[in-house]
Amino acid sequence: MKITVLLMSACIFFFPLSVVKAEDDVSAKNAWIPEAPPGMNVMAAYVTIMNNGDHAMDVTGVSSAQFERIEMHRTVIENEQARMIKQDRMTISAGESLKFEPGGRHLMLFNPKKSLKEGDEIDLKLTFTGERTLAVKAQVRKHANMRMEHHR
Amino acid sequence: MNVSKKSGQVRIGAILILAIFISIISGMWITKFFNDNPQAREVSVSEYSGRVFEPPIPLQSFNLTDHEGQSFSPVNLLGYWTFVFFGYTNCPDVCPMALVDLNAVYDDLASKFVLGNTKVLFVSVDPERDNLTHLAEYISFFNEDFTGVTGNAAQIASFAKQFGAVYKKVENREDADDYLVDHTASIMLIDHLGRLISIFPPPLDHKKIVADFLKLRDRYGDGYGCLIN
Repeated sequence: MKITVLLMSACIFFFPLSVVKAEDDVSAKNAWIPEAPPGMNVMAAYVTIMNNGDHAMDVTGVSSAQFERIEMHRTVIENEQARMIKQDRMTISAGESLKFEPGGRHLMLFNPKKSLKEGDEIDLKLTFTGERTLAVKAQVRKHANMRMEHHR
Repeated sequence: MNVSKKSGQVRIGAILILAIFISIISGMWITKFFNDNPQAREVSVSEYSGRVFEPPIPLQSFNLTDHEGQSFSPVNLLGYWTFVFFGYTNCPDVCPMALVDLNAVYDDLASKFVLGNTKVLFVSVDPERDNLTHLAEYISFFNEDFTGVTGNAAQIASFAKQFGAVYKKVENREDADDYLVDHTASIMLIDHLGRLISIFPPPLDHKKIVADFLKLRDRYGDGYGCLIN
């Protein structure tokens, strides 16, 4: 009887832990969106995604109810010319992180449903290999902070 | 006493106008010379982080429109040191970064009390989508003092060519209005006589840009004497 109770409570105790572990194989931080001039159809978002698992995984897409669509891009500068190259997927090796930051990889957000102001929080949904998804909150910040972010 | 002072001022004014006239004429001649001798254009000077042109290359005539709808031509450059960036308002990453860097340059110059006759120009290379209203909203969002300029495709092309700036529309098959534009991401500097003096290639560093700017300004003069508008 005593053992059964112990086992049951152990199950109850460890069950949520196992769920947390599965959720934890990928995480995100520093998600932000530079505030854009009024009436802009295109904005950028930046985020750092960590692959905490044992296997490489691909980011295969990003979406948000607040934007018509979101693409992943990489800015490449060659001969002083900037080009943006659309990426269909980006691989994150096990234990590594993938940084989207000004002047490099960025999320390109098309046609916001409403004008966004500093302090607004936007829900982004990242999709990974195997239909795995991750919800991320990105904060809209003033462009002045962009420079600090860039040189940090 | 007053009368002779005034006539002295008039004389100085006349000399100034004559000097500007002569510099424009000689500028045109030098432009022709450099266009005929493209190798002679660029000189790299190691004490600068950017590319410096010695002597600076006078710009040929151009005709653009600023975000307030006013004409923007070479006369608007005389007496000012002008930073120039070529971009487009639908550019989500590189252009805002460059404008934020130019803001940093601007703030730094203001704190050193040398901002007086400095201008920042954002030249739209996307005249199809960047109308004046849109350009005005865009540029004043970054800095009320900055100037957005545009023109028709030919006017922009002939202006950009003088800086070696290039840009190319990348067609989007899914949505024709959502195209991107590849473009030169360097910041250009024009001196107070309307001559291209330096190009700062990316990655941009506002501290290095300010350092180069101050050296060039010391060497070629602040240009306050040329202020005519």
